[in-house]
Amino acid sequence: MKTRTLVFAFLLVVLSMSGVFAQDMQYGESPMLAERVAAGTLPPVEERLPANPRVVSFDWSEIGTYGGDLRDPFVGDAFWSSQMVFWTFWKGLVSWNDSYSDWVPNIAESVEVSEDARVYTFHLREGLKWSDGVPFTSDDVLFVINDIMGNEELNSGTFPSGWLKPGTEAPVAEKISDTVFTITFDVPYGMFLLNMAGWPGWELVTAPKHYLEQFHIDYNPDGIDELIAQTEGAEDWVSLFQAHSAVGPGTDAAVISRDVNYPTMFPWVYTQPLGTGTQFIAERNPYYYWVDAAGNQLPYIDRIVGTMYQDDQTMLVDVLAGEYDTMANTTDQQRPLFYENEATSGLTVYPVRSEGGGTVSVMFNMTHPELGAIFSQRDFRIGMSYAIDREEVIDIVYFGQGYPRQISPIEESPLYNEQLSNQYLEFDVDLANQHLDLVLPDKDADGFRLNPATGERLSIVFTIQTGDYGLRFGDVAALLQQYYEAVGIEMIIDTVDNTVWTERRNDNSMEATVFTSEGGYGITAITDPRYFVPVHGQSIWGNAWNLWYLEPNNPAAVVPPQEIQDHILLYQQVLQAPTNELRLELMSQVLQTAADNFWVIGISSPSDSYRPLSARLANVPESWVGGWNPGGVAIAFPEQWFFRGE
Amino acid sequence: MTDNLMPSSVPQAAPVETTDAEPSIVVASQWQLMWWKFRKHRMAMISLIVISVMYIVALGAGFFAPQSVDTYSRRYTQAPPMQIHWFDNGVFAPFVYAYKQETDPRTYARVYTIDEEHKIPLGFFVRGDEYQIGLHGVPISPINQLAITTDIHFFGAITPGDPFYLFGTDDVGRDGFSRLIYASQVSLSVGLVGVFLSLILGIVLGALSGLLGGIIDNIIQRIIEILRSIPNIPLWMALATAVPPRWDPVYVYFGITIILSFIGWTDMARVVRGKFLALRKEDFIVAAELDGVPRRRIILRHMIPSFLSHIIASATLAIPGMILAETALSFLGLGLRPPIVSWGVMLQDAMNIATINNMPWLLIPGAAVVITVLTFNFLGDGLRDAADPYHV
Amino acid sequence: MAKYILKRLLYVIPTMFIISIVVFTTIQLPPGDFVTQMIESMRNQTGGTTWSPEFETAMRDRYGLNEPMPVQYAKWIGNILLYGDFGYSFQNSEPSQRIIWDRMGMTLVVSVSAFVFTWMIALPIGVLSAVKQYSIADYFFSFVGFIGLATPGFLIALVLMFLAFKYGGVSLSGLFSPEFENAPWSIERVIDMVKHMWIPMIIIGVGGTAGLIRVMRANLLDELNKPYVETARAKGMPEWKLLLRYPFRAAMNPFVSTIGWALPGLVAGEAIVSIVLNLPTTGPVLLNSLLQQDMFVAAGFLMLLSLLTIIGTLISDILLAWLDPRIQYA
Repeated sequence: MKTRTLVFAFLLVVLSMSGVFAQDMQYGESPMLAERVAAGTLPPVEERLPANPRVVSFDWSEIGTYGGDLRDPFVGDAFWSSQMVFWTFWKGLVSWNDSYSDWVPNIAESVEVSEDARVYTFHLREGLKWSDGVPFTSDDVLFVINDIMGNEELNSGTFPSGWLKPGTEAPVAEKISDTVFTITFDVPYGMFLLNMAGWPGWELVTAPKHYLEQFHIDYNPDGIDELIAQTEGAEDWVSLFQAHSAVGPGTDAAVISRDVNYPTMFPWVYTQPLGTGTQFIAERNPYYYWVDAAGNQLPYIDRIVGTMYQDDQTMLVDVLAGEYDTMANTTDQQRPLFYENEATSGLTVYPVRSEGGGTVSVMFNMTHPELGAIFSQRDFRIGMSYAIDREEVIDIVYFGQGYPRQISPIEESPLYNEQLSNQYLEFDVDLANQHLDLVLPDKDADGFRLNPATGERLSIVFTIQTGDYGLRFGDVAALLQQYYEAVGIEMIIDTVDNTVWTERRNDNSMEATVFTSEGGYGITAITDPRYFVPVHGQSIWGNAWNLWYLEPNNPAAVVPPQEIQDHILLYQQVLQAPTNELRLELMSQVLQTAADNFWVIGISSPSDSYRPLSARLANVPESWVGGWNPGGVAIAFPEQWFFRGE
Repeated sequence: MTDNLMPSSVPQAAPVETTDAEPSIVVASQWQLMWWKFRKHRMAMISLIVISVMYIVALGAGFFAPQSVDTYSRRYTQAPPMQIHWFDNGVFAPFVYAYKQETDPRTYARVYTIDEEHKIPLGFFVRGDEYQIGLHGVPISPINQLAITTDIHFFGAITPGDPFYLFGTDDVGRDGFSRLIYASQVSLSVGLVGVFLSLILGIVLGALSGLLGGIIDNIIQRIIEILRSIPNIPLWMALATAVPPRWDPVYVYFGITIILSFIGWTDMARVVRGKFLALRKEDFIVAAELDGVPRRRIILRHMIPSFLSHIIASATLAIPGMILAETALSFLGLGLRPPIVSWGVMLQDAMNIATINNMPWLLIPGAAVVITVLTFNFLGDGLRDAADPYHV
Repeated sequence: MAKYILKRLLYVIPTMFIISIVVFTTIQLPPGDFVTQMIESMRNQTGGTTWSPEFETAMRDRYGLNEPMPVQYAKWIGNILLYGDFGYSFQNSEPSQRIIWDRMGMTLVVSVSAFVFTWMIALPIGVLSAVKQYSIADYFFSFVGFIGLATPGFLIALVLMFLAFKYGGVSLSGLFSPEFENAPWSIERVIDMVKHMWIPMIIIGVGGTAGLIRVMRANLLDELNKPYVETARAKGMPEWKLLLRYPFRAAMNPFVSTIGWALPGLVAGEAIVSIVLNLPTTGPVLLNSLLQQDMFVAAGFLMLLSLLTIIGTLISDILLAWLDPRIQYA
């Protein structure tokens, strides 16, 4: 009797010491899952959750109640356009904290980083499970790196360049135990975890080895021929694998929305695909590894029900009539509609902070074969900047919101650069003319400036994309046309389909454009440096240089001059820097170079967008940072949203 | 059907029917007769006047539009139409009230209130934006070279630059009325050329096919089948990249309407062929052939008039399609480029719920298209009745 | 006649051959191909992280897009003729046929009912407009018809839907309200459906019928004023019998000439109706495949439509001869 008590007491001590006990006190679960547990079709919640689930709670959140369908309308496909990607991804081994300033552990319980930032050791949560109940282990991550990205047949010969290959060599992934593994890079890679918290993080945690290995020649050498024969359109194991996997070269992540058998780590998993119908349903993942402060398994909301529309305007009417709980891709022009009809729509409008460093950018392609010689003179760009009446653009196009500003990290960012933000902002035609006279001194009879190389009137074609992400490129261009005429520059606006825009980018025939302006909030200037360093496909200002960087075989690519190459090199050091301080220090140097050269012209400070959400939803933060890298609504933690009165 | 042996030309029939009329009618020419008959058609007469006015306004767009096509006002974006007050204290002194504008920083709604303190006096032959007498949208160089630059406008605010927006303004604060007038230059010219061309092609090829039959018919019908199988979208997508951006967009658009008409004649050709197949065995045609009347004359004088109504109806029906054609084209980036506007372009911008709610006045170009089609139709009806020998 | 039909059926083969070349060439005219489109969307979605030039080449090889066009054409047409295989949708990883057939049922229901509705409304009104030329009714239908004709159908739909929402507080898109979406059939469900049908009905009625009404009216007018009508009338023939026996038959001639072309239209779907009722018909599939350069879906669909055009032409020709015995095909 005595021994038994002792053993029991000892067990208690051990349990409480392991930290499990404290949180294990009582897990709550959705009534919908409790029913299935009672029916014996699902193990109890204690067995479904990992030993140490991630506790999600904020000072603005409360303990919620389970239930409800979130009705979400969309036009397009059931994954990308429906924005389910935001509701499911951005939950990697690590993910963003709620202020989008740093990474926090997620699927990994902890991460150790070596001094030189080359070796990363991940510790997974004990007892994690895929949505079908199969354990998630180190093998699943290794499968991605070694068997998918590293397979020479799948990757056409080389490990895909990108976030997993900061240097020239493929990363080395090694398993230490079922829950511990290391990833080693050939160069220091200080940005690894921050990159992982952003978009690409999903790649390492969305390839369930136990499901995908049947399509992989190395794991199913005998049975694969039969599968190839069964699958229409598959000719070899590579196309078979590409058709089934969400991860890897040539695959489409949207396969998850079509294949309901695909196990995931998402909060909601597809149970009814869209197919050729108009509705898809994603149901709560019974094995999701998040709990609230009281130990209730998340998410609170039972299902996401997506309804497909043929047209976004009919969708808008239905949203205003109150048939849905949210709508994505809203524009500024629709804003009055949502406010006026709050009563019928049942939607509250939440402001969403911009991630950008401005509203739109005005870019002259300095690498253009004919006009590049003019565009690459700093005085030309300064003149073109002085010629813009920014206050007027703000009033007309941006509803009077914001102030004149060039594109740069915002004031609150550790990377803020005063010069980069505020130089050459004044609207001053005389000053503009002075600068332009240095580059283009001669004019024709109509007062338009001549191209010194040809002696004919200089006319600049602005290629404007029709898909403008609600930023109204076309309206800005129409105003620019008049400002530039006033300083003797003829501007032609060519509004084109996105395909044509890309075509002109690819063959470097784009002369100038009005485009987006990323790189404002926090350290986004590092994650998306397109307006400061020509390493991005949309760095139109140095288009042939970014082609050289991204597609060296493109005939339109041009080797950048030494100072640009040095600049790119410096940016690469930013990505490698092992410490935060060094990273910020080096990036500040990069931004200073950008400021001194003044490559890109900005218009105004970034303005808030907005997101309508059901007024019945609780636990929604007052505002959040919108954008691709923070993950759309993902940064607002929709797992812990709940319907009041449900 | 022996009744059809009756001759179908006009001069013989007319005097018989109108014995009570003035004696001069006996010696009236065929054209005079048609004109007299046409004048009796009230809707047709009204339509003729409306169409004439529209073309005069389009030709003198610079003069009739109070502002130029791209003048904008920062304080008057999304402004609703203004009401003209013709009399001020019983005296003829037209004016409009200015607006006060506020943008709600939360909802982004532009709220306009009438500023009763601030009257904008209006007048005829006022000074305003400079323009050239000539065609704005259709840059036919000889006309533009002769053009004189002036700043006199038919009607507008007496003080240049004062706000006066009869049809409200758009997103960027441009005058809807002025833009409507400038847009009519393209919409009332380029689009109609396409209609005309496909009509001619359709009638000629359809007539050949129906009248000659046999191998010719077979070839033309197979060509029609092949033409109808060509998908438009890839064609426009290819053109959108192939056309150099520095080409004048009006010419590009003109070229596209020509291409459209080369594809669009097939319907008319099928119908004409069907009619001709039926008509060629008609007694009056056979009789005319036996009389040795030349084939061309048979087609023009006997066969085509017998289904003139159909041709007129089809032509009017094709007009809106051509006027609005660039709506679809601008979607693919092949549309007109600023500063050139057309009704289709203006309407395209208005086709969303936000605009219908915030700025319903941007739908006015739709009314312009409707009026154009209606007037052309009534004009066509009038012409048909006038030309119809059996019509009283 | 049988000989004529047989002869015409033989012509289908060379015509379809030429059409297949034309279609295949045209859809390849735009710059780039599906791989370009795919990489572009990957770039937009991922910042281009999993993309490399080697991969691009590999993808083109996989889809056979690196081969010269005649070879691609030969393979494509060969597969159709030998195996009835219309190729594979790059975008949906599904056989092209399935993508089209899956939506065919819904499309036919929508477009056939729209077609029947249009003709049932248009022809009587056309006759009325001609017989009572320049009456109030004639002017009314002309006016309404031209509004429908001169305004894009999509715009009318938007305005109507917005007004219904703003002043009725209801949303009228879709075939059912959400609560009836998956409910079993009942009186309420039927009422709900009828409630949703009126906007598309008005749009079809206003937009689609105008052309038919005008053409009917015009052709009947041409006939009504002819002497033979007067003669028949003088002989005491009842007015309606007279109308239907001769002038109406003659006035149908232009319709019959092109009625066969409604066939491909039925399969391509009534775009506006499917947008308003939010039905997944084939029309958007074709549009999307053309824009995304998903060429086998586009080519397969266009071939189907072309075949229907040819059959439609033949049907029209047969009907023409049946309608008017004077017509003979020598």
